[in-house]
Amino acid sequence: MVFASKMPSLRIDQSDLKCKNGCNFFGNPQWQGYCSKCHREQLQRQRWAEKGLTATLPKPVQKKMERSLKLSSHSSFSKFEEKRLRQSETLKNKTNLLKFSVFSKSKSSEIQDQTPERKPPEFKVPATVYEMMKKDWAENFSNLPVQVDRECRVFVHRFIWDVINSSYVMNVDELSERVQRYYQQFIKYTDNSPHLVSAEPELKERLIDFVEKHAMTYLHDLPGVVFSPHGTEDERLDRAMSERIQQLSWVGEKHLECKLDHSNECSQLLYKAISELLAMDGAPFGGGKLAHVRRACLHVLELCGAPASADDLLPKLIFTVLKANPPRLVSNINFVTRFCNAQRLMTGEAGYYFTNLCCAVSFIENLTAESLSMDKKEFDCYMAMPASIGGSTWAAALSLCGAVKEAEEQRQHAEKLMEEIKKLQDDAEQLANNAETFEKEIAKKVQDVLAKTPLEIKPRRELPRLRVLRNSTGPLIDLETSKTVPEEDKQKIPQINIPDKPQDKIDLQFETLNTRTENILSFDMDKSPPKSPQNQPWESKQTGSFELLTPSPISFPLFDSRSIDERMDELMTPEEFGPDNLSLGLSNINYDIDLSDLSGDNSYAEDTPKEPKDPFSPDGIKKEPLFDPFAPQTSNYAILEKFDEFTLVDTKNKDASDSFEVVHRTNDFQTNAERSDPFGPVQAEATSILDENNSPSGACLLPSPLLPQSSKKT
Amino acid sequence: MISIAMATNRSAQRPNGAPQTKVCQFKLVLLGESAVGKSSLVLRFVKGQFHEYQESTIGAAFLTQTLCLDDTTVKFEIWDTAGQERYHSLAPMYYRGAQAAIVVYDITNQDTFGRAKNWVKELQRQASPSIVIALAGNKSDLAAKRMVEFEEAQAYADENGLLFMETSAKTAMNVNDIFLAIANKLPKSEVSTGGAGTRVLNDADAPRASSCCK
Repeated sequence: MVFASKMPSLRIDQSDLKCKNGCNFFGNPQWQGYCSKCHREQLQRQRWAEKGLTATLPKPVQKKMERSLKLSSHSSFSKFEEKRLRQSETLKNKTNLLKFSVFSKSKSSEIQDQTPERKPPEFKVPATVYEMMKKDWAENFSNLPVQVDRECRVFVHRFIWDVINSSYVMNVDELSERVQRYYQQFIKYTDNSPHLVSAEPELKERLIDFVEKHAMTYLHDLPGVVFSPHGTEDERLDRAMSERIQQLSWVGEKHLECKLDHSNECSQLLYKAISELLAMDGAPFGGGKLAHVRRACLHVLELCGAPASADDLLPKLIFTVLKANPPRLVSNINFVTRFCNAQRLMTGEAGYYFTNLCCAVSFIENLTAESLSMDKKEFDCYMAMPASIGGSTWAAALSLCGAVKEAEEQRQHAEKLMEEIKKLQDDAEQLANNAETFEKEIAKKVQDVLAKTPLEIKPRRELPRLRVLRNSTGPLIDLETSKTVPEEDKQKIPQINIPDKPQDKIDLQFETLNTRTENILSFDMDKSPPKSPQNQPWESKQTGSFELLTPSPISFPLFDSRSIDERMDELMTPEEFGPDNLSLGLSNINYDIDLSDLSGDNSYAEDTPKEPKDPFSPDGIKKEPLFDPFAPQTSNYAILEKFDEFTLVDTKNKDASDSFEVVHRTNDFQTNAERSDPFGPVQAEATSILDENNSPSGACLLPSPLLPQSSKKT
Repeated sequence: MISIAMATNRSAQRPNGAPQTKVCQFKLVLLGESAVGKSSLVLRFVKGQFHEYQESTIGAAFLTQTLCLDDTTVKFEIWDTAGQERYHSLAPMYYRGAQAAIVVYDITNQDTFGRAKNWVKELQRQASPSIVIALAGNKSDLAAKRMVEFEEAQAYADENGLLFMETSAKTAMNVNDIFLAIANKLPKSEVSTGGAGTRVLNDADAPRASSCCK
C-alpha cells in the first residue's frame, strides 16, 4: 500500500497487515504480503511474464517503488534524473518486450479470440485508485451528492478496464478515439445527470477533470498502454528529440532574436519555467501536464516583460525548451494530444500554451539554418560540433563551472600582478626617495666640502687684497697679510693658474692638473727652500737684468714645463692639441724633470742658457716654430698676468714689489712690441721659448727674427 | 475517422436550462506580421487600453472577451500568434480548430499587406472551411503615412469574401466593430461549431501519429 509505505513504521497499523495489492483483505507473509486471491493473481502474472505479457498488467510492486521515489524527490532536477532512470528502465523492459512483440501481437489477437471472457476476471482495477478518488472527492466535491461520487468511480473503473483491454487490439489512434469517446460520454453524463442539474459549468468541468485525472493517473503508469504505447516510436523519438536539443544547445538568444536581460529576476523566471517544463513529465495525467505547461508559459511571458505578445512568447519558449531539454518530451506531448480531454486542448488558456509548446517543439524538430536566419555553413559547423561541446544543460553547467574557475584563477593572477605592481611602485618610490636623500646628502657633502674648502671666498679675499694692494699700493701690508696665510697661498696658486691657462680644459684633467700642479708647485715651493741659495739669489736678481730675459720670475718652471709639454705632446699628438695640452703635459712632465729643471733653470737662468738645451734640444728645435703662433701668445699673456698676481701674493720677499713692477712693465712692453710688429706673436713666443730654452738650436732654426730680439733684450 | 461532435456551445445542450441566452465560445486567431499591432488591437478590444509603449504587463498572448449579441453571448478566445516569418510554418497549429481569424496588416507598410494576403490564402486552403476571416488594416490613425490604399484592400476583401475594416488600436476606431462583425457572421448553431471545432485537432495529429507508426 502506498500510504502504508509512506508512514513512519514505528507502530504497526492495521493497514500494514492488509494485502499489498490494496484490496481490503488481510495479507499473509507466506503469500508475500498478499491476500490469497491477489497472491494467486501474482503467481499467474509471473507465469504470464514468461510468456511476455507482463507489461500489459499492472505491477503493483514496481509501481509502489516508483511512487515512493516520486514522493521523496522534490527538486526538478532530481526528478529529471529519476525520469531518465525510469526511462532507461522502461526501455529495458521494452527491449525485452520487443523480442516478443512480433508474435505477441499475433498471440494477443489469439488471446483476444480465445479468451475474451477469461481476461476481464484476471484484471482488477486496484483499490488505490478508488481510495485516491474518495479522498479527492472528499476534498473537492463534498457538497455534491454521494451518487455522483459513486457513479464517477464506476465510470472510472469502466474507463480503465476498457482502455486496458482495448489497448491490446487497437492501435494508438483508435485507442485515442476511444478515450475521447469516454470523455464525451462523461460530459454527456454531467449534462444529463439529475444530480448535476443545478451545477455550474465550471463545476462540471472540474468533475470531468476529476475523472480524467484519476483514470489517467492509473493508466499513465502502466507501461506501454497510454504513455508511449506499444506500436509507437515515442521512446525512440524522445531520445531523438533529446539528442537534437542537445545538439542545438548552441542556439542562443541572438539566434532566436529574443532578448533576455541577464538580471537575477530574469534568470529566476527562466529557471522557474525550465523546472515547470521538467516537472511536466512527472505529472501523471494530461491536466497536470497542461497545468505545468501553462505555468511554464506564464513564467516565460513574465520574462517577456511589457508587451507580452506571441511574438515574444514563442521565441522565448523555444529558448526555454532548448535549455530545459525536458525528458520524454515527445511522449508527453503525444500523450496529452491523444488522451487528454480534447476540448481542453482546443480551447482555453492551457490549450493555447500547449499549442505554443507544440509549436516550439515542432520548430526545434524542423530547425534549419534558414529558420535561424544564419549562414548554412555556419549552421552545419555548429551541428557537426559534438554535442558535448555545445553541451547539454549539464555540460553547459560544467563548462560554466570551468569558466568560472578559470575566471577566478585569472582574477587571482591579476591580483598577484597588481600586488607586484604595487610592490614595484613602492620600490620605485623608495628608490626615488633614496635618490633624493642621496642627492641631498651629496649636495650637503658638496656644500660641506665647499664650506671646508672655501673656493669662492679665497679669491674674493685675494682680489680685494689685490685691488686694495694695487689701490693702496702698500707693499708692506701685503707682505704681512701674505705672510699670515702662506699655506693658503700655496693652495691658491694652482687654483688661479689653472682656470686661466687652460680654459678649454675638461674638469677631470683640470682636477688632476690641479692636484698635480699643486703638488708640483708645492713641490717646487717646498723644494725651492732647500735650493734657496740658488733661488734667493735668483729672486734678488730679478730686479736686475734677468727680468728682461724672462717675463716673470716664478713662471720659470712653468715655462720650462710648457716647452717640455709641447715637445711631449707633439710626440704623441698633432699640433691642434698643443695649446691645450700644454697645461696637461705640464704636470706630467714636470714631475720628472722639474727638479732637474728647476735646478737647471735656476742654474741656466743664472749662468748660461745652454745648459737645459742638452736633454730637450732635439725635440724643442723641431716643434717650436709650429707651435708658437697660437698658444704661447695668449697663454703667455695670461700666465704673465697670473704670475704677476702670483708673484704679488707669493713673493714673500721684500723685493717682490720691485720685481713686480718691473714685470708689469716688461709685459706691457712685450705686448706692445708684439702688437706693433707683424711678427709679434711669433717673436714673443720665440722670445719666450728662447728664454725658456735658451737654446742655440732654436736660434739656429729661426735665425733672423729671434736673434735680433734676443739681442735686443739682452 | 470517427467524428465526435463536441459541444463548444454547451448551453444549447442544457436540457433544463432556461432558454434565455446561449453562450457560444469561439476560438479566434490573430495572424499578421510582427509589429503590425496585433496585440495592441486585442488589448484595446479586451481591456480597452492602449499603451503607446506597452508598459502594461498584461500578457496579450491569450485573452478572452465576451460580447453580448441580442440573443446570444459570444465568448471570444483570442489566440495571438508569432508573426515572424520564421514561425510562419507553425501557424496551422494555431489556427486549426479556430472558428474565426483576424488577419492584421499595417496600412503604413505595403509588405505587411502582402503577407496578409498570403495568410488569407493559406487560411482558405488549410483552415476549416467555415472559418470566418476578417482583414484589419491597423494604424489608421497614421493615415498620413498610408502606403496601402483603402480601396485596394477593400477590393481584395470583397474578392475573397472577407470582412474588412481599417482599425486603430490607438484611437479605438473600428476595434469593437470588427469583433462584433465577426461575432455576427459566426454561425451560432451547435452543429457547425462542433463540426469545425474539436476533431480538427485530431485530424492534424493524425499525420504525426501515423508517421510514428510506420
